[in-house]
This record gives sequence, structure tokens and C-alpha cells, in this order.
Amino acid sequence: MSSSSTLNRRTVLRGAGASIALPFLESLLPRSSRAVEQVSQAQRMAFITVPFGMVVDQFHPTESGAGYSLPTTLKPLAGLKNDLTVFSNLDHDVRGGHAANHTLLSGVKSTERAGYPDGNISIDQRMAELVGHETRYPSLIFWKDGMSFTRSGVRVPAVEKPSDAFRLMFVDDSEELRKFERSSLNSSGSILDAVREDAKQYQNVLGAEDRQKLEEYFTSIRETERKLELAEDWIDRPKPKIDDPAFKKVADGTRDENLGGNLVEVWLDLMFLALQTNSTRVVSMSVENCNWGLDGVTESYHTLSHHGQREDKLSQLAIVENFLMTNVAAFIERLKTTRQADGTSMLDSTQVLFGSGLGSGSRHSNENLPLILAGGGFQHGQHIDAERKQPLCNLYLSMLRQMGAEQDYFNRSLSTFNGLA
Amino acid sequence: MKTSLLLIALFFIFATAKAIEPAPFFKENCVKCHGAEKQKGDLRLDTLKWIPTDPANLEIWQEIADLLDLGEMPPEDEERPSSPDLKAMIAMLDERISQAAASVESKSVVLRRLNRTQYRNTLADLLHINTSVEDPTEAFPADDEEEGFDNLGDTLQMSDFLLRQYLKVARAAVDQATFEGEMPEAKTFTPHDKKSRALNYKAPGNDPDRDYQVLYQNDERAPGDPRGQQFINCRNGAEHDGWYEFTYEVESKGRGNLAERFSKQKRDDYQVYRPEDLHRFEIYLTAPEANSQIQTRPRHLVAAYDLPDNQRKIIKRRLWVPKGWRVEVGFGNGYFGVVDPILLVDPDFDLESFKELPKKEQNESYGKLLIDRLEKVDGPRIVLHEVTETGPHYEQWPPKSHLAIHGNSGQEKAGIVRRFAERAFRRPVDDQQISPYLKLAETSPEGIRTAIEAILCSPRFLYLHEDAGELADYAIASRLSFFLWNTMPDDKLLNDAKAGKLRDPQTLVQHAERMLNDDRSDEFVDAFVWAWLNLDSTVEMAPDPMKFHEYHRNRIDEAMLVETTSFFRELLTENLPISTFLDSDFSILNADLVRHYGLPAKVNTTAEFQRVSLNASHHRGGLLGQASVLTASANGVDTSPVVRGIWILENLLGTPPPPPPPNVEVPEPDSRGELTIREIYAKHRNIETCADCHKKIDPLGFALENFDAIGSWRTIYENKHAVDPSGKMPSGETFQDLSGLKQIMVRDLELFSRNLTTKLLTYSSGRIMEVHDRPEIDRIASELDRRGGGLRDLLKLVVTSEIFLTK
Repeated sequence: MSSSSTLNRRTVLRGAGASIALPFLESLLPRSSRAVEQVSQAQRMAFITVPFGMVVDQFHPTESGAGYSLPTTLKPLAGLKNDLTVFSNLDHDVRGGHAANHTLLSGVKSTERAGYPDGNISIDQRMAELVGHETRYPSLIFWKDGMSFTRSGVRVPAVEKPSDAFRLMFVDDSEELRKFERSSLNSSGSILDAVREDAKQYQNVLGAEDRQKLEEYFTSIRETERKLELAEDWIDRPKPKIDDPAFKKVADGTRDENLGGNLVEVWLDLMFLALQTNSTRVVSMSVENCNWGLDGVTESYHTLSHHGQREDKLSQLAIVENFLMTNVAAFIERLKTTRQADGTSMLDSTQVLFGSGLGSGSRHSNENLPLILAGGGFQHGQHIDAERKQPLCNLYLSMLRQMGAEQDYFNRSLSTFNGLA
Repeated sequence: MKTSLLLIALFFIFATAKAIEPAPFFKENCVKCHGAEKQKGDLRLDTLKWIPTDPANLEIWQEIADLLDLGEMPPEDEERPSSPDLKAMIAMLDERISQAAASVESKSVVLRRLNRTQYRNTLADLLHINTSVEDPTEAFPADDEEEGFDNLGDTLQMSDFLLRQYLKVARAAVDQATFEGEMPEAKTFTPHDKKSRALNYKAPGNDPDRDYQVLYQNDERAPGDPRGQQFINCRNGAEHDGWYEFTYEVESKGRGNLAERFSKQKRDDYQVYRPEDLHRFEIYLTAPEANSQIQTRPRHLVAAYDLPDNQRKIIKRRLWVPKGWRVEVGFGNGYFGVVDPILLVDPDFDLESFKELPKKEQNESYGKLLIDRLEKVDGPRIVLHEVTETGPHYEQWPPKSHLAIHGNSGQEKAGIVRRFAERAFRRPVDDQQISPYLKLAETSPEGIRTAIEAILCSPRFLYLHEDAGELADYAIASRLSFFLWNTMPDDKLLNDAKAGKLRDPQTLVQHAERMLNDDRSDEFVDAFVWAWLNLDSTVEMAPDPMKFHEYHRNRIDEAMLVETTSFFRELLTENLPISTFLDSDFSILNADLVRHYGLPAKVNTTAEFQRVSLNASHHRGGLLGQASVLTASANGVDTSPVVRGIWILENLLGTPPPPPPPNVEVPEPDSRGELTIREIYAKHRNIETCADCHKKIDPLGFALENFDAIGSWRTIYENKHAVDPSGKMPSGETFQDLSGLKQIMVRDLELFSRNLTTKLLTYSSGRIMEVHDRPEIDRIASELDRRGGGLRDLLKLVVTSEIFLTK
């Protein structure tokens, strides 16, 4: 039932453009011979999501196609116009306001996951299924959880503090801790064997429905065994080191300060590092309701999103949205100017999606979502008005195929995305 | 064609009924709006089939019967059938539906995994360890919810994330339970003894030469983020896990003195010191220092006391302190922050010159300088006259937790593992079941702990086992225990299960009584109230701290939850009628809430909640006057009559409206102030597709418009429009304001009663109620009515119901 999860050579070549034979070959090499510090050309994805939509009439361009002019909110992206695509009238056709916000990366409400062969798996977790075994962390989720779901519908936890993320990626565990980890892995193996044996006996006394439920348990055992095996590989491998003194304050927790104006910058820096150091290939950041600490902004993000057209709120929101877009632009720019081993830009093999599960935060609608896709080797430079004729999952399917996934559908998709090459 | 379909459908329903002709009834009264031309409410009656074997189909027919019964259909502006016809029709539908439902294969509870809270509590009971300070489940993924409940078998998932957490936590828990070597000697410390003072205490901002300490401020840096107090026990962290006894002799002094200066200090818009409240002494447990440079160590408030003025009071507290944690005390509602307190007690003090002194000198002399002045003017403070600390103490050595895993010396591994497994699985185990674990235990000297860890990851521990049909005794023991305590059954329950007594209703009721009288039933009250009233949103969409300072100050957010759970508890203890939830002449409040509500009652305790009498003019009777509910049904920023109306329909009346039809344009909110909220809403009420549902939703929500997003009373909005809380129910009844609505709701208690019964059954059995459960739910509701409607009686009816006692 589940869609195929293999990467095949042809799709990789097709998806990643002409120059990308190397990453595939590279992935055939034994792990230890690959330098983690080096930026490889592997396919990556980055997701940046905001919780309360955007002021839509300042976000969506009025003209379609390549010759569109940038609306106010998108002005900070001017220098990257040819590296990205802006979408209008594209959404998942779900309802529920905040309660449907979590569908942004999956298209499927948690409560409706039973109706889909892959449940409500989110695109980032699908990507992690495909390439997660290549890196120390199959995926990393920063700041706030609630957007990423596994195939079985489990909400993947987030790393909530920048200092924790820094430690996970760049600080080696103590010898004592590593020793402990190894012995845990050891005993975990025999524990899993014992409980599997017991579970097999146990399922014989269960009715059909309960037995089906217990399948989740067996699946979890198998998955755990697989992941523990992968984790074992990484215990003794040194983590990449970050020497930049600017990160001292991230490492020591000073920049954990809970203000949006601080956190957006820190998390985007960490997202970049996560990809650059190959700590993961799939990284996302979900902005949480927060106070901003920005000049001219006195109210919280959520309060501002309920602007009700009031000028005093809209003007503050404009500052916030400009700040967000300026930082997103800087993140994309950084990927663009970073060269990979073969001389191509890191952005060429990194798909960056910015979006929100709400369209207009004030209306609490889940329609006409604000969405921008950058990089990843697509032909960008246009504004595509999807006219609500195709679902957002079409775009996600195209994104997955772009990085080489062999699959014919993604959740609610009907086909690949029509209009993006 | 239309007519013939209708006739066919109705023929099947009413093949045996003779009293009334159904086809003409529906054709005459319903098909105009629910036929080929219009399908209001997405319902088309002329083609609706009668499929007695399909629960979903029966649900639709049940809803039709209910709407007729409630008088909502046909709507009042349409011609209504004669009363006898209507009654006959309803009776006929009810009878046929319940007959059909009885033969529909009932849905059973799917193998139910322990949720996060249940797992944590069970782990603590099983291993005799304390999980209240360090939460072992902190990293667990959130449990899935359905209709607000996070304990439903079908909904709760297992995943590899979770299984890895189980592995990790099992290992840590076994470590925590294990105590090797000799029993550590208890030590006694008191700050009067210079040596022990240096070893054990930290009293920043105090005078080292005084033989008592003075707490003069609450060193909070921001609301809700208390860090660092003025007096700290076990400054370097406790040496061992164990029980420690703390004795504080404290005295509240100077309350209300210098009120002018102290209470004029404001932060944002709230007063930082309230001279009218008794001084509150608080004890906290603080986590060990992390590697991190900044002090964001988690801190738990473990006890709070309202102190009488100018009286020495001895407070004894026994605390489980995990190794490395420390104990802090504080002046919970003390002055903090705006101006240096030394300037409040001595405005002439030359703080600027003082600040130029070397830091060390400042730190050493500040306490004396301040306390001298504070005492001179008798400023507000808490004096710590005596402090003693002794510990660690253990009930026995090795502690029970150690014996549960390792047994007494000389005890056979097999016996230990088997005994542990029986408690973990909550039932007897046979040789075959135990064999995988015994094998583990035998493999190495460390094997026994591996076996225990494995048991903690086994499906028999993680899932509640129930066989199809009537529940057997052990399954009842677990169901009852996880219902009323949210943890594993105790020995008394398991003994009665072993003796086969639990199917006896009288025994069951006795256990329920016993368990409800036990403190552990707080677990039920908290979890049930949380789920029933959907209180998540008080946290998930928490009120804007920059807009609602008051809410975050003085922990109003927590206080409002305490009010609602205490209110539930009061109904439960006193067996008060469930209509009390809708309107009451009392609530359970502390000083902060009394102030928040603007009540005249004289309450000066902030730690202790008191029963406060209310009358209608106070607007606070029943759940709908409580800040928790009013906050949960808002969105943290502003209120919407639609959101609150739906909240009432879903959570109190159990009649959630269908989602809006597709392609309905939701109007862009406009709060610039030209239109009143009524005028904005008039728009959708004038659109036919919207009006049907909104005439049920909106009046309920408008009745609550007198409350803002954190439940403060208001009569005008921010944009200066006057609040209009009046409304008209779909039945045609009108009300002027919330008190009128409450009267209507109390009078027509049926929906509320059925809903509360349904929610309790859902929570206790672990599955969503379906159409075939309706007769049993109705039976309970009417039996409850006969017994006078008491909440405790309802609980007893639930635990002896067929639904509760069947898988």
C-alpha cells in the first residue's frame, strides 16, 4: 500500500539536473569514507512555516507569470526573484482555522488520516524516510512541533531551544555518555527480542481488531531496531565543529531568549548549519506565537494577526512580516552563495519552502495559503496562480520527485504540479 | 419518483407501525426544505434510506428524531405538525431506532495503550518511585486526542519514537529505583550553625550577622518566570535521592505598611504588591544546574501557605528531593522589581554612590543596609526565624523500590520477576508468558534488571487487556482504577478481582466510593475536566501576555483551572445536582480570582481557595461564569460569539453543529468600529445556508459577550460599542442576558445530562459513544434524574453501567 521508498539512479539524475552524478555515487561509498564536514551535493529540503498566515493582499502578486511585480511583503526577496516561485490560490481544501494549521505539510488532518494510504505523513517526514539514514539526524525540527507527522500519525517532537540544537549537532557527548549509550543499545536489542516473543504469544489471545492494533507495536519494534542500528553507527563519530565565535552565545544559551526577533535569526542560522554540515538533509522551523522585541512592535504575534483591518495592528504586522521576509531572503541568499564540492550552488540542490497553514490570519481561513518555493533546481522566476484547480499536494509530489523519490502520489495529490518545471 | 423513494424508505421503517402514516408526515412537514430542491443542513429526506444494519445511517435517523423532539424542526417560522402527530412520530422513530441499534454489532473498545499520564503514574506505583518532580515522560510525543479525550483505544498510537522512549525511561526508572550499599546517614542543618550555613545554605541579599533571614521581595524577573530566591536549602544540590524534612518557623510582618509606596509600584498596568492579601510563603524544588550559562533551571512550586499577620508559624514539610536538586523558599506575592526596594524603605538612600562600590562589597553589605531600614519602618516582609533540614530519610533500607526490582537478598530471580510481572500486567501470569523475561533474567548477573526493563516495555504492560464481551474481574479492576485514579489498580482491587467479586454492583460501588474519597482521584478530576471542557486552549492559545498582564500575574491562569476542578470536586463530594454546573450560588475562589471577577467577597488568601457565595448579580454562577471556560472558549486575543456558541454546543450540550458548507466565504473580521458585532453577524444570519446553524450557535455565544477573552466582565467593547447579551433560542424562547440563558438551560436539562453522561462513559471506557449506546445512556440519565441528579450518583451509575462493564 505505501508508496515506494527507493531512490533510483535515473530519477536522481533527472531530478537534480545534469551535473549531479556524484552524490549518488557518493552515497554508494561506505559511510566512513565520506567527510561529513564537506558540503556535498545531496538533495535537501528546508521548511519555514509561520502559524498565523500573512496579510494576503500584501503577499500575493497581482500579475501571473514571469513579469510580475513584487508586492510589499515580498520586496526583501527582490534579489532572488529568479530563484523562487510565488504561489496563489493554492491550498489543501481543508477547514478549521488554527485546528487545521497542522495540515500545511501533509494536506491531511490528523483526524482524517485513516482515509489515506500513508496517513497524514508530512512531506518532510516522507523525505526523512527516503534519505534520513544518510545523516546523523533523519530530520530536525526547530522551535515548535506540530507540523511534522510520521506515517503512523505521530507528531514528531521539535528541538525547542537553540542551545539544545547546537549541542545535538556540534557538541560531542562525553565518553561516559557514549559508554552509556552503547550499553543501552546493547540491552535494548535483547529487550526488544524478549518483548517481541511475548507479543507474538499475546496476539494469539486477541480478537481481530485488537490484533490489528497490536500491529502498531510490531511495526514499532522493527522501526526501533532499524533506528538503533543506525544510531549505533554515529555514537563514536565526532560531530562537526563550529569555530565561529558568534556561535558561542548560541551554545551557552544566551540566545535562547524567547523573542521572535532573536529566535528567527538564530534558528535560520542553525538551519543553514544543519544542512551545510550534513547533520541532516531535512530541516524545518516553525515560528511559534511570540513577542517580537522589534522596534515599533508592542503586541504579540497572535494578537497582531487578529488585526481586524485596524491600522495600528496592520502597521506592526507589516514590520513583523518584513522582518520575516528579510531573514528568509538572507537564508536563501546564503544557500545560493555557498558552493558545493562540484562548484554548484547549495541552493541548486536545496528546496526551500516558506508557508503557513492559514491564509489570512485575521479570517482564520485555510485557503489561498501564502507559499514560496525556492531553489532545488526548479525553473523559478514566476508567480503561479493555481486558481484552486490543483491541490497543494501536487506541488509536494513534484518536490519529492525532484529529489528523486519514485512515487506517483503524495497524500491528496492528483498528479505532479502543473506549471512548474 | 421522489415520493416513491420516500415511501419505500418509510415503508421499511414503519412496516409494523400503524398509529401514524409517516410518508405524508415527512412529505408535508419536511421535504420542502429537505428534498430535491433544497437540502438544508445537507439532509435530503426523500432519498434517505433506512438501513437498520448501518450505524451511520441510524445516527442520521436518531438526529432527525432528536431535532423533532427538541422542537427545533420544523422551524418555528414554518407550519408545524399537530402535537399528537409529532409525538407519535417521535415515539415511532425512537422505538425503531433503538430496536435496530440493539442488533447492530456494537463497537468495542480497541486495545488501549496507557497514555502519557497513566504511564507516568503507573511507573511510580509499580516501582515505588517519585515521578512528580522529574517527569520521566517529558520527551514523549503528545498523545492523540479525539473530542478532547487523550485516552481512547482507537486513537492512541504506538510508534518507534514512543518505544524508544519506553526503553530509555525503563532504564532510567530502574536506576532511580535501585539503592546500592549502606543507607546514607541523615544529616541535620540549620543556618544558625555557622558551619552548616556555609555548607548548606545560600541567602543572597541577607545580613550574614543576623541569626534570622528576611524575605522582602519575590525576585521574579518577568511574570510567570520566577528565578532565584532569597533563601536556598541544599545549595549544592541534595547529596542523595531521598526524603528530607524541612521545618521553617516563619512570620509575616509589616503587611500593608508603607502601602502608599509599595502598592503604587506598577509593572505595566498591574500592581506589584497587594497589601490586602496575606503574605504567601512558598517552597520550590529547583533542578540541578544545567551546562547552560543562563539560569533557566526548571523550578516546581511544591507548597504555598497564606501566613497570618505577626504570628510565628511553624511549617513542616517532607519532600522527596532527587539528587542534585535544591530547595528554595520565597515570598510568593512579595514586592518585586520596579524600583530597588531599598529606595522604598528609605527614599534618601544614596543608591548611585552605593552602586559605584566594588561588586563584592556591595553584595556583602546590601542585605544589612536594607534590612536595618526595612525593620525601622516595619515594611512588608516574611521573617525566617528558624530553619532546620534533616535527611535523607528512608522508610526502610533497602527502600521498597529497590526490593521491587532486586528482591530481598537470597530471593530467587524467578520469583522476583514473576511477582513484578504480575503487578505490571495487573493480572496473574502463566509460565509461558513469563518465560521470555525469565530467560533475560538468567543470562547475566545484570539480567534481572534487563528483565524488569523488558517487562516495562512489554505489550501486556503498555496496553490494557480486555477480552470481548462482558469484562472479567481483572479487566474491571484496571478499568475502574484508570478511570478514577489514572493509575494501576491497588492491592484491594486486585484482591477482589482475584476473589471474583468485581462483577457485583455493590462491591463495585463500594470501591468507587473508596477511590473517590482517596486523594488519587484528583487525577480523575483534573484529567476529566480538562478533556470534557476542552481546556487545552487555555495553554495552546494562551492569552497574550502583553495584552493581559493580569492573567499572567499571580498565576491567574493556574488559579482559574483550580477553580473549575475544585468546583467539580465540590459537586462530587457533596453529591450536588449536575444542574449546578449550569448555575450555582457559589464557586471556589482565592483572592486573585475574587479580584479578577470584581466580587465584593472578603477573601485575602491567595494560596488557599475558599467556597464563596454568589448571587445572580455577580454573573459567576456555574461553569459559564468561570474564567477557565471563558478563556478556553476565546482565542487568547478576543472573543467570538460563534466560537463560544460552538463551544457550548459541543462541550455542554453535546450537539456539535456541522462544519460550514464548502465555498462559504468567511467574512474578513473588521474591528475598526463602524459596525457593531450584531450588525456584522446579521450578515450571515441573513444568508439561508448559514442561518440554520447560526440561529442555534449565535444566541449562546452572544450571551457570553459580557466576558472578554480572559473572562473579565465588560459592558462595552474596546471600540466603545455597548455589549448586547440578549438572544432568542431556536425554540423561540428569549433571554435578556446570560442569567436568562442559564435559566433556560437548567430547565431543559436533558441535553446537558445526556452529554455529561456520554462524556463520562467515553472517558471511563476509552471509546467514543455510538448510536447503539443511546438506550443505555438514556437509561442512566433518567435513573439519575430519579435519584435527584447528584454528580456522585452519576459516577456510581456509570461504573455499574453495561457500557462500562463491557469491552
